[in-house]
Amino acid sequence: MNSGWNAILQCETAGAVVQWECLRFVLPSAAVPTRISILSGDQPADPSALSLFKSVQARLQLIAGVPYRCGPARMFDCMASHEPSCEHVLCIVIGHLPVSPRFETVAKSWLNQSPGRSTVIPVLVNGLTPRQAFAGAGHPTLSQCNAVEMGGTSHAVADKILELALVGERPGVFISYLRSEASGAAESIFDGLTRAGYRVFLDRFCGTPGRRFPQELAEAMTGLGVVLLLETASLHKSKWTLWEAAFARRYRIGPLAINFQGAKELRGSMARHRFSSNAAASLMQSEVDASVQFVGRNLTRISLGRRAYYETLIELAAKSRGGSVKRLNIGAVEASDSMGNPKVRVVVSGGPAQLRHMRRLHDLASGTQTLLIAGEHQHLPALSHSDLLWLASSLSLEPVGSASLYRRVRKLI
Amino acid sequence: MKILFVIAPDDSEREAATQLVADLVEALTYRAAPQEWQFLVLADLRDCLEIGLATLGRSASRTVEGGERVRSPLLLLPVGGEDFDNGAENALRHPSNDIPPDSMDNGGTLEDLVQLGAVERHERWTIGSQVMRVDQALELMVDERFDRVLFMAGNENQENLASRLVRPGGDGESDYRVRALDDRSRLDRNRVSPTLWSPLNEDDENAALRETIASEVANAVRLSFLLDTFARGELRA
Repeated sequence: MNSGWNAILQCETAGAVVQWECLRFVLPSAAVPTRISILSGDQPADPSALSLFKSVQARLQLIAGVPYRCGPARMFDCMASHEPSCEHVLCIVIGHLPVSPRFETVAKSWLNQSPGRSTVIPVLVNGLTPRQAFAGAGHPTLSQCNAVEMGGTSHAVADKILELALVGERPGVFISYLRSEASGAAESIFDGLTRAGYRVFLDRFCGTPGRRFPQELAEAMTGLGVVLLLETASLHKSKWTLWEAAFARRYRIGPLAINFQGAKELRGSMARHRFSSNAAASLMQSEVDASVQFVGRNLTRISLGRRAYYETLIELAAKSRGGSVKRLNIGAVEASDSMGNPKVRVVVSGGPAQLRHMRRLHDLASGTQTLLIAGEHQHLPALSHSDLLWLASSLSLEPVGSASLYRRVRKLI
Repeated sequence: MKILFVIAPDDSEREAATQLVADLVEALTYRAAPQEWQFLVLADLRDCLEIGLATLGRSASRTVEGGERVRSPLLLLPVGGEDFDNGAENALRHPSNDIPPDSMDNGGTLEDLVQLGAVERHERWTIGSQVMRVDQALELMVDERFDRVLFMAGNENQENLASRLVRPGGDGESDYRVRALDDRSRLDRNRVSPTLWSPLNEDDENAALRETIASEVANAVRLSFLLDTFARGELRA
């Protein structure tokens, strides 16, 4: 395990004079170590590749500060290749046809270097579509990778890459709306988000017979990454929407709001996008695209904000006892006592713990350190909660919530 | 142990105050609280809901024993401020005509929290009663005494009224009261996350990300301060 970095950002252009850059960051809120490589596929794509690199760099620098400059970008001989927990994201920026067969080989090798932890994203610029770029049978690997089309600024693509690299999985979206006023918009946004790869919970009225709504809503909402409110004229009068908005704020999963026709705004939304159209009817494609971008833009923000809250509590608890913390590049935080003896390691799941969080924490077991998994586990369905406790006990892990985290770490230091 | 939390509804920092009180209430109630503990929240309807949710999922410990349900330590007394229209107020407090009349839909959201055992209704919050102003509610409680009062996000007059409700004497900690959001000296976020305040050439989206992280860091700093001072001794590790 390497503790000197947990994010690497690389870029290599294709012009007559090849430009390259490789930066190393220590991110306070990374779920796992990650490497993002941006490779320009042809000379016309160079400006877009550099723009994308700078967008991602700006966002990483915001969280991690000034990076360490490694030197030339090494695609397959990078130190990240030797870190078994590292996620590898390769963006091949393509701006000209035909796509060189070399990039098919590069993509295939990239995916094979760390199966299950490697991703290739073809980024198409200059108006290219996936159908044009990968026509014929010459790109069996690239044509199976979900491509993104980059138009205008590189911000939206940068957010997508960071979401993949830092959030760890494509989060789910809970759409809160009034069926009588926003069914058209809700269905359009549901389709758009689903096509973009999000898990979406649309209809609260599809619950399990016999279950009480608040518990079932709580379970559905904490398992997702964000709550999206569709603000229409009567939304603020809907008791279930008020539940959902309050719940989202309480558990730091938004809410985000899309406002239609200047409807009364629900207090406390993290971000708001406005449409002048009628939410009862289906949205235009441009509005669907804008909605999906709006959600994507804010997801990383929500996820990193929540991690910052947990990690700050750990840090403050350690410091209150004269101790210190170290961020491990596997996405965990290690707190030591005033003598520098490591006492506790914490993996922040944020939401209810998943198996991958437990495995990651279990892999960190070392000596007599206590292993904590921090998240909102209390809203798991009863049977899942019981399974979580059983598994945690079997692996000598301890689930803690945001309410008990500070005191627990303080006691262990 | 009785603690009063006051969040004046007409203050611009109310949202931060509500989040902090909800975090603190959750920390105080994450394990079954002793029966003598009582946390009274004076806040507007919507803030009461958000703070009440902090105890949701923890009501299992408040089971029915001997024919009586164990009380939640969290009491709510909604106070006015925001100009709610009837529909919104109904959705929060009363049965609503917009909702199909089945069992769980037939009351306002705060009523649901009471039904679920997550919170209790303060004696001055009766079904159908008008929502009081915060100073009115504080004046009516003139005979009540609290071990601690956490007054946040309001004006001086309201703070003076709240301060009269602090139980006198005791161990020197008993008259502790905090205007937590004003306590800037304790919000040295730079101490925790220096990179947040590095000058950067940033666009609006980066600024929004920075503000979100800074805000969550501030929330954690405030909560740890309150856990170490305001709620000292009440929390078992």
